[in-house]
Amino acid sequence: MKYRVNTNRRVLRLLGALVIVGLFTGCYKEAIEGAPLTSNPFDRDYEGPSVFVSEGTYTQITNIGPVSVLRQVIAFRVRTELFLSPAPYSVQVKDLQSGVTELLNADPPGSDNFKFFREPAPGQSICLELRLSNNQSAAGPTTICATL
Amino acid sequence: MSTLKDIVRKGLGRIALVILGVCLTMVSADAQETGQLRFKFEPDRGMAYVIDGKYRVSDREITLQEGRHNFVFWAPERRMLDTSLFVVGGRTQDVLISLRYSVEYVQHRRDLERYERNKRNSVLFPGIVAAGTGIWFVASGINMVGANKDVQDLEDRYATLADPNSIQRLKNEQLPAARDELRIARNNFYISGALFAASFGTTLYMKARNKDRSAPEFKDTERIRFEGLVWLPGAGGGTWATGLSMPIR
Repeated sequence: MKYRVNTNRRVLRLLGALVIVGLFTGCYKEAIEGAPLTSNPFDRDYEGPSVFVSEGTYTQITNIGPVSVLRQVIAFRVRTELFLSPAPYSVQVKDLQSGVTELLNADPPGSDNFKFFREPAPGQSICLELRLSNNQSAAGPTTICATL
Repeated sequence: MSTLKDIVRKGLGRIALVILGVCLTMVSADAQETGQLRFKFEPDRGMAYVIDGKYRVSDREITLQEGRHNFVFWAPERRMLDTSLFVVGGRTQDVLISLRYSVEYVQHRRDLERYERNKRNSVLFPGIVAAGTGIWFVASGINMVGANKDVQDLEDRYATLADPNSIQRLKNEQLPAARDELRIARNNFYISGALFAASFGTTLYMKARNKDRSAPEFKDTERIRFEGLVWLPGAGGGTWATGLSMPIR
């Protein structure tokens, strides 16, 4: 009789341990179903604060050899503080008016500031589609507009 | 008053009677010659026999008067053999006695084998299953923890990636595959855990149940019958017992 009592206790302990383990492993439900990953600005499905901040637009005379050229500058900044980890990058810019696409590097180099040059279009809203770019692939688009 | 002549006559008569008696005895002894039986028993252990329903012995060699004698042989677990042997005077005969197993013993062996088999199967089989499922349970647990680590590593890697193509590959291929692995591992863990608990519980239950079961005992009824053939006093003498039954209607 005593043996049976011990046996029952042993079985109950084992089942209890299994229930605890089951509850513990129930946490894996989150890992299995998984919250969607959208917090990386390099992700095409990025959801969060805008990575690009417009710094305004202005005209600038650029000397190309003996010729002086007036160009419209659309300046913007990348909020690298939103990056999940430090990473080198460039910005792919598409002028939605002209359809021209360019790959820009920071100006000045090493900063987070960028400048896009185009023909001046006074009074016209110029919209740019901006994407972070790395290793010949681009992240999700962000559009900024500026009017001269 | 008897005379010397009478005394001599009577004495001679008595002597003649004695001589006659001795002669008759010798003639009789000549007619009842003895013979010897040398037994070889199968089995040899515990073999005993009763001669002519009177004497119980277990000797391997015995000397008997010439003629037919009744023998009842018996050995533990064996069936009694009731037979007659003819003893030839002046000769030694080898006799092989082989006894078959008694019906009760054969049945007992079957019961014992069944008992041992049931005991073995009822504990061993669930035990093996419990051990197998236990190993599977532990392996599933380790596998599940490993699969979960893979998912965690990929999620951590997501934060370090700065290549959009690599991120897409991680999100669309690597992470779903790792999560599928984790799902399968977790299901295996649950299934193996349930099977292990069931088989372990069954093993303990069967063990506890078999503990109360005793092995079948052998009652050698042939022995009782054989011992009833001849009454032998014990060390403290013998006891006669009798019973009386009266039908009451």
